[in-house]
Amino acid sequence: MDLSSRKCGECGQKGYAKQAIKGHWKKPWKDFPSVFLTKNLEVWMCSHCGTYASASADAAKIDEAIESSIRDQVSQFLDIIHSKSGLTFEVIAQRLGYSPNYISTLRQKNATPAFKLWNQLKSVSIDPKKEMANLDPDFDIIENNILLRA
Amino acid sequence: MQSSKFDLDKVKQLVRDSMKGKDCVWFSAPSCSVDYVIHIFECTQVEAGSIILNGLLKLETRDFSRRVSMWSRIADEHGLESYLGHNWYIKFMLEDGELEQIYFHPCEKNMHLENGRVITASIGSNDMPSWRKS
Repeated sequence: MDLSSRKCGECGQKGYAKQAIKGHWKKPWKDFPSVFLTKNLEVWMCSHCGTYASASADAAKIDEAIESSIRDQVSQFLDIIHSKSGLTFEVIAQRLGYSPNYISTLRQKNATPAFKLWNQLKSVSIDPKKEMANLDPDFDIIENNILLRA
Repeated sequence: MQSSKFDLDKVKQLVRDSMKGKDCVWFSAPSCSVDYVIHIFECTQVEAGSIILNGLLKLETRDFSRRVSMWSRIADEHGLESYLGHNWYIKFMLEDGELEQIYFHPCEKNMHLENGRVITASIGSNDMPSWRKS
């Protein structure tokens, strides 16, 4: 559908143009409050207010770009955690509270995690060695002085 | 008594055509339609689109509220009661044989229909998406 001559429903101005976007997509998707696109997504954007418009037929394309981005990121997060922490994927799975099979499926980009896990993996990826040590079930919470009342 | 500008049968035909793959429905304000539905149901774009299209198919002439001017064009407002756990505020217009779906979101305040019925608000401010709170 050609929206170039249509008026934007948000600001009322004419001037949609196709634009390839990457990076922050500040729109909800499933339980994600917003997503970060690492794949290009071409959408109609209002050149006046910067909001997107979509034809009903575009929905699958948008879903594909978002899902593919999330799966790719999660696979990379896991590889980063594995290489920087030196832990096996089995141990990583145990410390995150998921089955090794599920973690393997995520690594192969064959599943899309919930926002909670994506966010946890993102956070752990920043400093895998430290965060994975914190997630060790044998982590000594007394010695590390993290209880208010021991 | 005011009647709708657009024939609901034509609207529904476009919705059915869209469901069969024809590119004839678009969302001109996704933050008030597709994105809002995603926020409520934690679903995908395809699922949100399907929820909206199926909701439009449930509309009846008795659900008409009023005609409103929008950017110097006329759109129809309808209220859809008890669909997927919410009452819905719906605004659309037809142009060049296409359905422009402007708003489709849970009623944020009571809505008066042309026939005197009142559709009650079905979402509180705590459950609204952040972009609707400001």
